[in-house]
Amino acid sequence: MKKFIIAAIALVVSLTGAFAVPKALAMDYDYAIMMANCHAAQAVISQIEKADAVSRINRGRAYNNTLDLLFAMNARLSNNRIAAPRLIELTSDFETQLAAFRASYDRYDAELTRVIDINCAQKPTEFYDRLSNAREYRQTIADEIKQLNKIIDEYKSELNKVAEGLE
Amino acid sequence: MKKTKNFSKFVNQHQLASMIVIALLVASLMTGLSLWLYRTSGAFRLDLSRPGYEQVRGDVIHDSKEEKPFSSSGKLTPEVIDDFNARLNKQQNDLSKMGNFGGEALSDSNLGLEQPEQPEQSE
Repeated sequence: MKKFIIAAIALVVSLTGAFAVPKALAMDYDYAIMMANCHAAQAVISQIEKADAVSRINRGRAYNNTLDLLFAMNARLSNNRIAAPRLIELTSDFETQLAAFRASYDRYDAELTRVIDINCAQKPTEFYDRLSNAREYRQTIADEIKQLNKIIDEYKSELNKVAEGLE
Repeated sequence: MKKTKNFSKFVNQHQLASMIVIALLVASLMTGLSLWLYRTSGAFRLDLSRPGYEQVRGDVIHDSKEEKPFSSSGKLTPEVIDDFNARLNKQQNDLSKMGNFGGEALSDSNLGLEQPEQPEQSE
C-alpha cells in the first residue's frame, strides 16, 4: 500500500511538470527574447520579402526564356528528323518543376505575409510557428531551384551527345 | 408586382440619377471582380508597383530586345548547337547571379531572435 502511494505521488508530480521547470523557464526566456525583438524581426522579414519578390520575377523570366529555348531546340530537332526522346522528357520535367517553383513561391510568400502581419508580441508561439513554416517553404524553393539547374545541365549533356552524331 | 411598377415609375421620373446609380454599381462590380482576380491569381505577389516596393523596382532585370530568338526551324549544324549552348550558358550565368532563396536570410541569428550565449558558470 505504501509503495502504491509513493508510486502514485511520483506519477502525479511528474505529470504536473514539476520536473520540467528548467525547460519551461528556458522556453519563457526564448519567448521573452522573441517578444522583445519580434517587431524588428518583422521589419527585416518585410525587406526579405521585397528582395525575394525581385528574385522570383528575375528567376521566373530567366526560366521562361530557358524553357522557350528548350522548346525551340526540340522543334528544330524534330524538323530535322532527329529523334531525341530524352530531351523532350527533360523539357517536360523542366516545365513541371517550373510550375512547382511558382506554386511554392506563392505558398511561401503567403506565409511570410502572415508572419509580418501577426501581432507577435501577443502571439509569439504563432509567430514562431509561421516563421518555421516559411523557412520550410523557402527550403522547398531552394531545392526546386537546384533541381531546375540540374535539368538544364542534363539537357546540355544530352544535347552534346546528339551533336556528336551530327559531326 | 405593385412594387415593380412603382420602381419603374421612379426610374422613369429620375432617369439621370438612375443612370448614374446603375453606372456606379456596374463600375463597383467590375472593380471588385478585377481586385478578386488580382488577388486570387497571385498576380499581386509579383506586382512591384505596390507601395513599399519602390526601392527594389530597379533590381528587376529586363530582357535584351536586341537578341534574336533561337529559331525552331532550319538546318541543325554544329554551329547552331554552339549558338544554342552559348544562349543556355548565358541563361545559367544570369541565374547564378540571382537570389537563390538560401536558408540564412530567415535564420534566428539574422532576424535577431537568437538566444544570447549564457556566460559559463564558475564552479
